[in-house]
Amino acid sequence: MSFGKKDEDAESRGVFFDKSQVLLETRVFNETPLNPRKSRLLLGKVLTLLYTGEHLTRAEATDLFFATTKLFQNKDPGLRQIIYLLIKELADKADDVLMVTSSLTKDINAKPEELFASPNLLSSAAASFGFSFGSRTTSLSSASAALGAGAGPGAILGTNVCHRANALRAICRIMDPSTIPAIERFLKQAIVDRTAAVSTAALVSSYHVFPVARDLVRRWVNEVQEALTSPKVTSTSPSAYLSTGYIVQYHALGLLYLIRQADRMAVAKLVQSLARTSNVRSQWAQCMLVRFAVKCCEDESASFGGKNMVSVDGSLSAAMYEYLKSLCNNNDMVMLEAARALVSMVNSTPASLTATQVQPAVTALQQLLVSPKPALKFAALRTLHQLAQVNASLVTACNLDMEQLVSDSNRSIATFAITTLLKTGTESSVDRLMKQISSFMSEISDEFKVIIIDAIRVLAVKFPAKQAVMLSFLASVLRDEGGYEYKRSVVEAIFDLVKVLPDCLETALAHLCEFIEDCEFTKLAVRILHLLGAEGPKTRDPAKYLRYIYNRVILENSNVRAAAVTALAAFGAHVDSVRPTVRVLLTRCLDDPDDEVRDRATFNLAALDQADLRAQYLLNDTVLAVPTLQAKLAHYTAAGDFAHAVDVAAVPRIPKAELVPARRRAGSPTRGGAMNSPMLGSPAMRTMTPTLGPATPTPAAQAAAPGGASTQWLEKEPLLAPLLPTLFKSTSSVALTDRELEYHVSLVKHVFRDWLVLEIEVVNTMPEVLLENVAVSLVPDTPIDTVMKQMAVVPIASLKAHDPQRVFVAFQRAPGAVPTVSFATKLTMTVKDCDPVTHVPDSDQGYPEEFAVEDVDVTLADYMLPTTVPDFSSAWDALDEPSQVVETLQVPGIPTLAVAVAQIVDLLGMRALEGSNMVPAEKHAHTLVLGGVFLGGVPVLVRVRMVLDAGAQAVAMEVAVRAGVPEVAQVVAQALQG
Amino acid sequence: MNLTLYTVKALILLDVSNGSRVLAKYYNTGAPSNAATSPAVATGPAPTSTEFATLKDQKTFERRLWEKTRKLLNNEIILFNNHVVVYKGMADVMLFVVGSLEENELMLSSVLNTLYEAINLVLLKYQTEKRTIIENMDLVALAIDECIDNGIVIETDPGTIASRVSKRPSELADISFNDPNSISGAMNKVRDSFFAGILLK
Repeated sequence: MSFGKKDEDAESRGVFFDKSQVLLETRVFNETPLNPRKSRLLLGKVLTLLYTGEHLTRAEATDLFFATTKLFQNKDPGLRQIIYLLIKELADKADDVLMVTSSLTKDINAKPEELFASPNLLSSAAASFGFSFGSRTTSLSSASAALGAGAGPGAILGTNVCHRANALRAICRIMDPSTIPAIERFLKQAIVDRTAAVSTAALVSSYHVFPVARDLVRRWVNEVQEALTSPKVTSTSPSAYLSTGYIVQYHALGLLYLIRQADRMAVAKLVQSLARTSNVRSQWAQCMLVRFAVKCCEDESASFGGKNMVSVDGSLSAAMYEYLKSLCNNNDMVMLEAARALVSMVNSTPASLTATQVQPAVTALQQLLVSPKPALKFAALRTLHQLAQVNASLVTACNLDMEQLVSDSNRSIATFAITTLLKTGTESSVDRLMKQISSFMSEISDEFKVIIIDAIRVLAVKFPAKQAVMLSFLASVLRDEGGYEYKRSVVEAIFDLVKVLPDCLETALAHLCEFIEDCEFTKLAVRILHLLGAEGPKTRDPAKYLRYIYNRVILENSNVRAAAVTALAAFGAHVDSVRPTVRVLLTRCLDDPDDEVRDRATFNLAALDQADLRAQYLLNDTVLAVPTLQAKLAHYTAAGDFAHAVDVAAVPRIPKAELVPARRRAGSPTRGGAMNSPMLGSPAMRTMTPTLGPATPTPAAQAAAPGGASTQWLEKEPLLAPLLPTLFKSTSSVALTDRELEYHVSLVKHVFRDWLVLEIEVVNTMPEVLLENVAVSLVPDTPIDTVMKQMAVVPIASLKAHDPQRVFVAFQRAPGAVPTVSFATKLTMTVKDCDPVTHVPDSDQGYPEEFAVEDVDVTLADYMLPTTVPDFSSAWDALDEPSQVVETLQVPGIPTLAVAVAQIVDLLGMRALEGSNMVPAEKHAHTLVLGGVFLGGVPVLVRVRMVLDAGAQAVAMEVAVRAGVPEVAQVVAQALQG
Repeated sequence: MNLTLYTVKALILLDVSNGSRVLAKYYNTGAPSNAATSPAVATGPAPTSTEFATLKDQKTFERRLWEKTRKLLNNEIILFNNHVVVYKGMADVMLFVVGSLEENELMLSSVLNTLYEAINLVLLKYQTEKRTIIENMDLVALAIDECIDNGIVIETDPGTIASRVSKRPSELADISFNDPNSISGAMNKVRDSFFAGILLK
């Protein structure tokens, strides 16, 4: 314990004692007579070792553990308490820790006068092996009685009580599932102990062992209930610190919930009864109660299909709402919890609260905002910020208070204030706010800046009139010092502005050009060059950007040079007037030292000169749908049959713009993201770039078809997995039942070259029932035997509650047949009653049951993948005239053209091209053009000219279909007639 | 929403001058424990996240936390690495309480204050500084143990906690003038009887 000079170095690294030295010193535990004081100090050193992260080997820990158990011989309370602590710390590090069970049991049971009064009482200590409970039936009530009477003046305050509590907590740590029943009796009795410390120790210990001793702990529910309601004493001394002991309620409530959590009705009843009375006195318990109440409401609204239950009188949620509202003027901790609960109920679903309903929460939070304590301000702001994400208008009442906090010394608070204000701010306050932010930007760290830039981006989109202010602000911060993440967020913000507000394109590009002149971040320079290539040609004077881009070719590293070459080529391809210039510049790049740059230059030069290559490569703004392609390649390589080339024609094309997944933008950052953003090291802040990922089969397969379901379950089915290389399409999952029913059933259709596989997912929601041999019976509405035959059904052998499993039904289709059919569908299964926890059936006898679900329809859309073509009219001309099929039809009962368009797109499963799915209002004639890839990779194009007869609510249409194969055109045209 | 009683993810004491660890306890880190030998524990209530599973992860977390907070001792609260962290300086060390992102800040702050006061109480007349904490680790560790049990807050009243921390065994058994601890030991004894006297009054 001496701190020599030489130790100071080690000490500053957090090494205070030498491990081997300390372990050696534990020999004093063997001395007779034992020196309790020395032993305790030494155990303090051991704890220091453990807490500073010193690693003990299993052998060292075990030795230490057994050395420590020898100390049980001594009766000193001060020593005993620290032994308990050490046992807990070593419980998971040492072997054979069960050895001390009997010593601990003895302490738990000991009468107070026995515990430390007589030093001669033989301690069980290390010598005792095995379990010898129950030999003494010490009465706990006598212990309590003695305590109630007050221990003698010689006794240390509450020592006995504490030690029983400590022994309880320690013993639960060393038990394993097989030995816990042996201490059941003590725990159960201790739960209802009059002393808070003992009761808490028992409750918390039960809580810890619950996962391994569910059934046991469940049996104590009455005791726990009693602990929740009966008053406690905390200390035997009249004048000592008197805590109220209500904290026991917190532990009892937590345990009660844990026991009952599977049973929604019981939880609801518990919460409701506690909310009605004022029996819950502990703030902590009240906070827990609030959370349980929210959970109840969520469960309820989920089971009622998201209807607003709060407005329904007498419903559970209505009662909960009243309860939460009443808590909004409680003490700070509970008030915050209740307000946060109310805020969490405000969301965009119909089940959310109205503005008036959430008002009490806002008022409560407003009170917290003016508190001097940072934690309070922080908590209130964080909650308001979250509310502002959903509905900014609700927070405006707090604007004045929040403006005060913009200059708060805690930067987390200031940032939350700013970002919330940016959300709630009105157009008129923007200028003032921006000025405030500008003065503030230089003082804060990059992480905060990123958050603020994000908020500004959202604001700029919200108030287009203010874009000039925003843009000049962004441009000015772009010039400031800053790290990559920060600069990136600024560049992203400008990109977004360009996308949403075409007016500011030229100014924005000018700022960006200036930025890349002196940009240290290769990634950003590349992205900006790409944007210049994409947007620059659309401006009035494209030529001026060439200089900026070519400067990069001269001055930058190879990555940037390559990007610059591509950008140059884009100008050359789109703008005829600059093409000669671009050609000259590209020619110079042919001598570049980097081969990628040279390759790009060569390729682009070649493509520029020939109109058809130019159209195919430089002006083509569609790409293959990468996930589909990736899945296809994965299946192809997995199959190992390389005799045939991959069928690229069957891969749909999508516009380039859609390659970038819809990014988090405008008013919809996720709640979690918004809550955790400040201070994050921000790698996970935003995933802007498309994550196309490594080519592992599983993620590829998951994204098999855009919007489609994954094939991961199919891959696990040995019977069906061999089909995968011929997979054409997987549809997205469709529910076949309502959410309220006892079984949830949903369907995914997998279409193969010659097969059709129905994947039917079944979820059993009833814990007390086990389903066995779940299969599906499908009855077609029309005879299909000639075109399609059901070949196999893979049933579910056994289905537990809340464990989704799948039935597969495989059909083989006749070659070339694309049958459309509707199946009347029902599940067949054997139902057995079972234990809700272990899922072991009560008896072997079950009863058969049938369960009808909605019809399964196989439509033409299932054989079609939506795709896009660069230019519809040229693609249309390219397909043979003779393949064209024209139909005219009159469709009644359609009010508007938009409805007609939606129905056609839905029916055919094709992609509307050239924005033709948008029907201008008030128009009575419209042409819809569609693109698709039919089964087998056959390109299909459809042109629908339609005229609305508003009076008759009917649409007359002329459908022209062209396809690579005439029969396919026939089939598609016929599908529309139906 | 945290529906369990597991509130505190970690409790950390760091040296304010260099960020080295004085004391750290991480709760439910997913490290194998005896009870966890049963597979059933995986479905239990304890949020056994593995983010602090290794000493290296813990030290990295502490180092970065210290870098973030050392100049902002009065800020009291920070969102850090998807955690809410409340903290307080005590002489030459900093006390941190780490909770999950959705945790009620005031609960954490209440734990922090409880610990702060309880540690001050058990160290009584000593300055609460790094050296005294190490020298009195038995008292400090017991105080922490009476406040937090494996991530569950078991007592929020610092006085109650302090009263549950037992005093050191008396010196009488081995008074030895060669013992370098005898002076401080004697002082402890004086203090202990003083303490007990007050409490019993």
